[in-house]
Amino acid sequence: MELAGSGSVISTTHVVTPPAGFDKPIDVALIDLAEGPRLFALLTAPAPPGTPVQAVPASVREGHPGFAFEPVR
Amino acid sequence: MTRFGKFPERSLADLGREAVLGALDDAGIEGSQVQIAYAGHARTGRLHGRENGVGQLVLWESGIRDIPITGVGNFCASGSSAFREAVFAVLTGIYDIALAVGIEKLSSRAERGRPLTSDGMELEGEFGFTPPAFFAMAAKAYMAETGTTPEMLAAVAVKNRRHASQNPYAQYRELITVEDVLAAPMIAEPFTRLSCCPTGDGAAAAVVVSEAAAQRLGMKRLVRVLATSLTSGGYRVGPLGWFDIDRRAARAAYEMAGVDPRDIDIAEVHDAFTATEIIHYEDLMLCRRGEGGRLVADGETALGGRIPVSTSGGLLSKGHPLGATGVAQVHEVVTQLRGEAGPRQVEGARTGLTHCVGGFLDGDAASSCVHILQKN
Repeated sequence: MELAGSGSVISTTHVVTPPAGFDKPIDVALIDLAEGPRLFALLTAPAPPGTPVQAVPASVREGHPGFAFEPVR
Repeated sequence: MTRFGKFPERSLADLGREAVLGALDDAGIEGSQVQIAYAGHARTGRLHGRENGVGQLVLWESGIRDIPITGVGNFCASGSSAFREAVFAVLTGIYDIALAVGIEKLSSRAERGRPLTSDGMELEGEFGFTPPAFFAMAAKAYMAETGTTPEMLAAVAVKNRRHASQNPYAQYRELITVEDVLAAPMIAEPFTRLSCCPTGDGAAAAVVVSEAAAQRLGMKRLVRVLATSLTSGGYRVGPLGWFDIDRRAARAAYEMAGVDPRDIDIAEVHDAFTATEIIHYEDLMLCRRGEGGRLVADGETALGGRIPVSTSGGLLSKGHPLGATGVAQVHEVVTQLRGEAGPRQVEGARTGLTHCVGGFLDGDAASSCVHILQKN
């Protein structure tokens, strides 16, 4: 299945005490992708449930290159 | 069982031996009478270089050899699953005296002050996945749907700490208030540090015998295992904020036991987080959907209430040395059903339930295990 990277926030939390490999608080969410699968992912900014989001390049644990979801304005 | 806590100076073998010898003494048998054993542990590979062989180590340290011993790894339900295997061993008729032990030593992990990760979640871990973050999101969905408040969540931690204050085996025993819980350092909204179970060390053991062996050995103070139920996740994308896996495990246990949820007098539930205890009231059918917050706020699940939950202090205050937890839950329910729980005794308790859920796979939990025990 090819994923376009767009979806919607189902639930989200602000993680003040993140796991090892993150040096500051993070926002994470469960995201239902347009194609159906549900994904655990980083958010680039806080976004309440129902917010449409789009995957964008972003750094993940230990600064590795990866992706995070950005709220669509 | 051992006291739960942080014991950097104690080894797996030392903790396990104390629990095993305690269980043998309680049953009034010698180690040489144990015919088969199962050992539950979940982090000994990563933390102690012993992914296998913890059971052999602990039992040899306890003077037990020349018997079949199997390690049982099943996330947070490792101890419950070891107990279940001991029950099955006796049910086969091949063995009539089996032993289950659960052991864990988490205090030696390097990431002190950081949440535990979970096996098999390396990919999600790249995005910051931890159990508190996942269950925080489930809690927020549940709160939005049911109107459950942060104060109701905090009431779970306050209640379980009050129970733990009466339990000499508990890791944390100083009383706390709702204000303490809400003002503690934030881990993942809405969970503060006092909303999450601690890590720690400990061990617990249980002797499981057939009726014939119990009679032969003249055992007293018996408790009957009415049901054992274990299931895996369904991995379905569904509504967040309730746990289908626990509902299925509970339903199967009630059917096997032939008892109604209303017959349960006490329950040790998997209160890894305040909100999950409330959601599990509903999963275990101790109340209707959406009523869990009110149940704890009204004191119905406290000592003296209609259905006391986590009289031991639960994972939140008794502590959660992963593999030890499921067997320690059995220890608490057995102690209650025998009428030997002292100041935390639930008068007239006849039927009790234990519940452990652990691991993650594809957005669902990996294992849920429920036992129902009854005073003989």
